[in-house]
Amino acid sequence: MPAPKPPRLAELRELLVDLIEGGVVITEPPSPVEGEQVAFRTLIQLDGDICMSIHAEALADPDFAATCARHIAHVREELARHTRALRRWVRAPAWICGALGFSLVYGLGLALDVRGDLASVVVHDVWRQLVLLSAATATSALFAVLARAVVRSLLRRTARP
Amino acid sequence: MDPHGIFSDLLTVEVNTIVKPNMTAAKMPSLPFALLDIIENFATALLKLGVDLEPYFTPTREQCWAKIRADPQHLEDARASYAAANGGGQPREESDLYDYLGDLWPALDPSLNSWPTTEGWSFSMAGVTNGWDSFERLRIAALAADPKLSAGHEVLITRIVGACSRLKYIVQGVQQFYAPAHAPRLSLGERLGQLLRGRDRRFASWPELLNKTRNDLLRRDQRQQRVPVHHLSPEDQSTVRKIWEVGTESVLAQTCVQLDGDVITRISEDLIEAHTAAVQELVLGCHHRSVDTGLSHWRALVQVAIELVDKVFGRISAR
Repeated sequence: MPAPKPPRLAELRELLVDLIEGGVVITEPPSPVEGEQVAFRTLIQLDGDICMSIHAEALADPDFAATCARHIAHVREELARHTRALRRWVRAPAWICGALGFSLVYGLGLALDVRGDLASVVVHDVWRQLVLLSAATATSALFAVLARAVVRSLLRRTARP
Repeated sequence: MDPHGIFSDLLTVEVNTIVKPNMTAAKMPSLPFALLDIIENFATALLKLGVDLEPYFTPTREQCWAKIRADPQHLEDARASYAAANGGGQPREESDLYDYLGDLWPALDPSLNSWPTTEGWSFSMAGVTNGWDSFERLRIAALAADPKLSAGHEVLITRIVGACSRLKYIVQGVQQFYAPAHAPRLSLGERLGQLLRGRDRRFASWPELLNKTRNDLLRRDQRQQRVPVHHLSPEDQSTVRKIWEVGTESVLAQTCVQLDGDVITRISEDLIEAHTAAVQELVLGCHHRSVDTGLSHWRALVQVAIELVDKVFGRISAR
C-alpha cells in the first residue's frame, strides 16, 4: 500500500490562515455570483464561535427548511476539511522531528528575521504559541524519560539484597 | 498573546443567529477598509435614529487637542500612558500625546461644547478616518443620544458603544505602538534582520494604513503590499471580524456553551414580537442546528489536541 502523501505546506497554510485571520465564511449557495444575494452566511472562527446570518426573504421561501439543511451540511463538510488538515499533521510519521526541527528553524528565523514564503506565517502569534507548545512538550517528555531512568535506577539499587 | 486568553476563548463556544434584510457573499476586506465599513455602518444606524453627528465629526484633531490640553487631568493621564508605553520617555511634542488620550469627552461633550452647526450639513465618509478617534466620536455620539431616544433602541446603542470601545482600544494600541514619531520597539532579532536586509517592503506599515480616509487608502499605491495583520493578536482580529460580520443587526438567538457544561441561551424580544410563530420555529430550528455544528467542531478540535499530546507521550512511553 503506498504511503500517504504528506500534507502540502501551502494547503495547510491556506486552511490555517483562513481560520486564524478572522474565520471561515460559508454561504448558501456555496459559490454565488459576485453581488448576488445569499440565503445563508455562516462565519466560523478559530475559537469555535459561530455567527449564522439568514436572509430575511429566505424565511418566506417554502423550501427554507431544505435550504437550511443543505447549508448546515455544507458547513459541516468545510469544517471537517479543516479538521482533517490539522489531523493529518498530527498523524504524520515525522511530526515530532518536524516540530523540533521547525522550532529550531523558527528560532533561527526570529533571530535573523529571515525572508521567505514562511515568514508571513511564522511570525504569526499562533505559530509562536505552537512552537512554545512543541518546545514545552518536548522538554516535559525529556524530563519524563530522565525521571523514569532515575526511578528505575533507584529501584534496582533498593532491590539488591 | 496571552496563552490564557487563547484557552479561555476555547473554553466557551458562542453561537449567534441573525436575520438580515440584505446579504451577499462578499468577504471582509482588509483591516483598514473593514474599519471604515464598520464606522460607516454605525454612523448610518445613528443617523437613522435621528442622531446629529455634526458636533462630533466636525471638530478636527487639532481643535479637539486644543480643548483637551486645557484639562489637566486628561493631560496628566495621557503623559502617564505615554511614559508607560515608551519606557518612561517623554514625547517630542505635546501634541504627540493625542494618541494616548483616554477619551475625547472634554472636546465633544455637548453639555460642555457648542460647536457651530451648519444648515444642510450631511454626514459624509469622505473626511472620516479609520483612526481610533473616529470610533471614540461615534461612541460619544451614541452615549450622548441615548437618553433622548425612545425605548427599544437601547440594545443597538449598547452594541455601538461596546463595539466602538473595543475597536478604539485595538486601533489606539496599534497607533501607539507603531506611531511614526517614535522609533519602533523591535526585538534584537528584528533589529539584526533589518540591519542585514532593510525594511520588509512586502508589508505596508501601520502609519500608512491607519488614521486614513478611504480616499487616502485608495490613492496610495499599496496594491502590492500586504496588511501586517500578524501584528494583531488573533483575538483582536476575531473581534474586528465579528463586529464587521454582525454590524448593527439584531441577534435573534444566542447560545453560549461553557466547558463546565453551563449553557445560556438568549432569545431576542424581536423574535417573539416581530415574527410569526412559524418564522420563530424556523429561526430557532436553524439556531439549534448551528449549536450542534458548533459543538461538533469544538469536539473535533479537542480530539485533535488530544491526539497531538497522545502522539508525543505515546511514542516516548512505548520505548
